[in-house]
Amino acid sequence: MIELEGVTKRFGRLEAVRDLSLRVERGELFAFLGPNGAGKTTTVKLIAGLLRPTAGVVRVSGFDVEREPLEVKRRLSYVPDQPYLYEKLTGREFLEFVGRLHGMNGAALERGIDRLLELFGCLEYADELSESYSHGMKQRIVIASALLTEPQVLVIDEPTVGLDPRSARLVKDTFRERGKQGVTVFMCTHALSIAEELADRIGIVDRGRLVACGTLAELRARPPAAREADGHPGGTSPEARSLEELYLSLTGSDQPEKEPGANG
Amino acid sequence: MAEAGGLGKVPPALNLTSASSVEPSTRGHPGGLGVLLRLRLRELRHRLAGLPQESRLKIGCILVFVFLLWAGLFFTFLRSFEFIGQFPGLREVLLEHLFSLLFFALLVMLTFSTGIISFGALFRAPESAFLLTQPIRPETLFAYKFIESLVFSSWALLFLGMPALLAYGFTGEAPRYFFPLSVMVFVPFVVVPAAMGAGVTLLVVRYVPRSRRALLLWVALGVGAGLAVVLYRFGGNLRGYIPFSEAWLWNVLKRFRFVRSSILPSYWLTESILALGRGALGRAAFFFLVILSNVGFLFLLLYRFAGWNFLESYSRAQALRSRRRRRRQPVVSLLVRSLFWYLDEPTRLLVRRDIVSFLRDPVQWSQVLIFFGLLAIYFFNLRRFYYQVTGDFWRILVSLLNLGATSLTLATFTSRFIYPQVSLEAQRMWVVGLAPVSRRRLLLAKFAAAVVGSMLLAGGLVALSNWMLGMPVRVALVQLLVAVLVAAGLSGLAVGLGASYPNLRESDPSKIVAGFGGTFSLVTGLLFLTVMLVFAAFLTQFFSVAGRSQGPGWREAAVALAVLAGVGAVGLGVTLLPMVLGLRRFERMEF
Repeated sequence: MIELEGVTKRFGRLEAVRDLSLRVERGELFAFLGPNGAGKTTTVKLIAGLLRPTAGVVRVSGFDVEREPLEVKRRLSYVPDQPYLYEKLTGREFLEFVGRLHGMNGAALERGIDRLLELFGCLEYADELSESYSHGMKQRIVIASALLTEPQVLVIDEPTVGLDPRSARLVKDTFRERGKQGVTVFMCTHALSIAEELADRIGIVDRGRLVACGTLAELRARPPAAREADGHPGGTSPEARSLEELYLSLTGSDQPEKEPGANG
Repeated sequence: MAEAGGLGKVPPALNLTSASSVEPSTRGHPGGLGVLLRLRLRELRHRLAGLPQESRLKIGCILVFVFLLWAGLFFTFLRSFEFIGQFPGLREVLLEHLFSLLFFALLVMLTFSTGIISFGALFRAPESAFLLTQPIRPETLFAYKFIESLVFSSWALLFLGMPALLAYGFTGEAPRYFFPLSVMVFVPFVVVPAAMGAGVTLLVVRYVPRSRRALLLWVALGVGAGLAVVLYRFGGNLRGYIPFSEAWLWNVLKRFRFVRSSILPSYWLTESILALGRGALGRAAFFFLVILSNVGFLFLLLYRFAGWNFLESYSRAQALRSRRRRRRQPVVSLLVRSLFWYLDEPTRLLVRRDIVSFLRDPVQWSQVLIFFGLLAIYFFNLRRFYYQVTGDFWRILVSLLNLGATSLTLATFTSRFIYPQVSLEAQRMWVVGLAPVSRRRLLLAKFAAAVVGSMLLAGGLVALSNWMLGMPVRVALVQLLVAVLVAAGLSGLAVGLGASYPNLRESDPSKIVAGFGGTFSLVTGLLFLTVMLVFAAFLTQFFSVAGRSQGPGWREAAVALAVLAGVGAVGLGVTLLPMVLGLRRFERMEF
């Protein structure tokens, strides 16, 4: 479970996240959408403990990210949009390293690694140095490492970037499966189709503010007046039919400023 | 089982455990420093295993260069200590001061270098962001990164410091145990400045204002205060002292008395090493223990501080990137049009882009400013030492030393900042490579920017040095010619070899430089400098006596002319040859 209570993050004069309150339940698949520089990556980094909120509280599985970071990190896996691997380690060694950092070892660790390598089709190249991997190969290994530690919360920035359609399908199926088992999945994405297909609930953020949150049906049912009250012009049709139309009507058309350190 | 190279399906039964997710407390204790260090060892093993695949010529060249450098340093120190040994009354005092000064310089350099390196390693490296999301204590992560920064910043120092210790041991007829024990004392010493540097970095990131402008202001204030102290201490003139006389020497030593202060770690090291050399084991052990206890204390302090503050500091550091809107830099455009009028417009555009990038990268311009600025301050103050009223020998010597110092500093900068430029450009070939700009033009633009900048810096400093020393115009012109050719040669080497040995994978310039091409560029640059300085010494001597009634005869004049031609030939050859080879390679390169 992820809870954000009145979270604000400022970078100097820029307010990247403004008074964000959000609760993602256990086993829920949550998609976080928004334009470039809207505050998505900052929010994800706040949840992962890489940034500290200027105001407000972030909790993961009931633990305060700021006060009990170690407890949070033992329960959370984070997959950034730019996968990080050690160039001079093989994929298998990387997984072993992550497992050991989480206190896993022995035959159970080896079995887990083998299963995930097989699941993600990495067995062929798992014993080669990762400096020779393509972006997609790296992404598969990083996602495997995130699942290896059996997290209660999975935070993932752009889950399918660089993956071929088959791998993307597998990742989506895996998330759905994990969700059924009680894992909270927080996905930050630009791909509206993933949100439509996978997410139990969708949050849309614009210029640091959460402008809409709910199931797809709830978002579609929002009257145009509610959107105008949020300070955004309503769609041309009284009831926006696709998520894309809804998204475009909710997010401003002005070019936003880029978040420091954000890639997306 | 998945199809070959394919993906498996996700049946519910494929989960690693039957439970939804494991409660972490049921697992073993999360990994600590041991797991992280084992990771580094494994990486090292893979690197070493990959060595046989590298060219034998490449490895052989590196080993030969390293050996030559080490042996050269050893014999230089050996001769210096033997020279000092000729003055029995002065030997001990001189050695105390020289070692104290050397170790103090190392202390300051290591403090700065570890500070800068640990900032990158702790707050900018993608590995830090990755590890911070893992269940590792912040103090453990700090310790791991501190060890990494320490090794990275001080291995060369240990390697280069050893020749001095060995040479001292040989000339001072030290007992046998001096050699292993002096290394044992030296190793913990490097931890002290490293800890101070890392500590300052942590404090700055945690407490200094967040904006880059404010940070630069603080740094500038610090450097300014340091320079003010240096000028105040050494600024007083030495009027009345005959340069290099005994009285002059004592006066100079008096000014450096502060390096003999007993609160300095460099003093503890000096005392321990000298005591070891004299066979006074008790005194050596005392100062060794002083170093060791301070290492323990400093590390403990930092470890605790990191535990409390590292996460907050990391979060603050992410906001340090400048968001200032940039102006269009009309002055740069004007400068480029004036200095590069002979280039066509597209090449000038490329030059302008490189200059603007340089000016917007504080890491580059601040280092250039600090090192060349220090040289300029020293040259401006040359008259305080009254060299200009001494005989020709000392004036010529000082002018040549200044030429050497300027050229060496330039060699460091061309290999550090200009060499990686081609590799970085090659990684972005989709920008310029697909534009209607030939690769030849691209490389020539890099060379033009490098050569003009280097010539202005080196030429300006050498002219200043000659002016302050009151050297004859003909000597100043000869040295200026050498400086200009050195600048051209070093730029040609850096750009040409950069194009011959590009690294298309590494985005960190310091790692590009650390490769074979970078080392080769630096070592060839140093060899080139040595040749040019030998030529310059002959020409300076010749032209300083050329105008006199009992000046050199026609034979000396013929030799001087030949040397002058040699200077031109070597300078142009070293400029053009790597550029031609680099151009050929760069034009054929696939990305």
